[in-house]
Amino acid sequence: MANPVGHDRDHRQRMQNFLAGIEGRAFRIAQFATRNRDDALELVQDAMMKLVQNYAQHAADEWNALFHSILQTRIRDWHRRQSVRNRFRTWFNWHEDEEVEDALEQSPADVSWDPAARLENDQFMQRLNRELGDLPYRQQQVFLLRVWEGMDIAQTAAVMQCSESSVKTHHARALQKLREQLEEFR
Amino acid sequence: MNDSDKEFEQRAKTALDSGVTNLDAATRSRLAAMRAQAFEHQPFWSRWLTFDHWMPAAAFATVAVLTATLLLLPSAPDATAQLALQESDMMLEVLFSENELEDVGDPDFYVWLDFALLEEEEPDHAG
Repeated sequence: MANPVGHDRDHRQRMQNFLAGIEGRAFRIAQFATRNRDDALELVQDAMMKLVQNYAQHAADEWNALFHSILQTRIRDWHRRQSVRNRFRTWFNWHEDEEVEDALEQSPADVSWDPAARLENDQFMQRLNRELGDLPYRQQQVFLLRVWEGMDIAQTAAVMQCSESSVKTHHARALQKLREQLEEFR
Repeated sequence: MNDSDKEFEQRAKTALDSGVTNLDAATRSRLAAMRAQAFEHQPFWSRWLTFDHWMPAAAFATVAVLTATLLLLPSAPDATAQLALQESDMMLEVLFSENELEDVGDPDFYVWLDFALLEEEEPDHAG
């Protein structure tokens, strides 16, 4: 006979492992979208809370899509709030010293001991981060979900709440722009 | 998508992974703390406290209270209850009588109904 307490403990542990595995990427995805570390952390925290509180009973293979759906909803809400704030700022001519972070303020990757290869890789990473940060929000997020998270078109469409044809279009445009901008690294 | 696109995407993926691997210690620690906090606040793991698990018990308790209330009701209802029962009886008679049901659409029917109820309640005041 199955032990429900033991089952719950296993389930909890699996969810903790899932979150531990996804949190770094989720943070970077949110950071690309917001260009702000603290806002990105807050969005990821909200997504974690919501997943654990509302969806923990779902099967483990559904967690990834659920988590990203929640995160994307939070990111969209953040964008809406920002656009309202920006409108007010324009009306009242606020001049806050807003700190816009460079999304690429990350340590270089230690992928090779060969200094030349390592330097090129670091430069590629920095440029990629910058260009990704400059992409329109939907193109950027579709690219990240498709390429980084490995989601298929249908999953990405569900998470982004758009049509599959939109996913294809956003992905193609993002890829084209990034390739153009990073042409020198071919 | 051609091979060159795939190669570019693979390189991008590797670079993005490196960005996570090299996250600063403060951010890593913050993420770990947030993860722990998510489990502190969640009610799911205390399953017996969730509404889903209390719902059958709550439903049973409600039925039990209703049953007890009906069983313990005084056999002689008070005047208000009696009046309400009379009104109900009258409405049921109207609804189950084919002839009178036709009158329900007539505004004068409601004037008559008020009058009839008043007569039932205080026979001396009517007519």
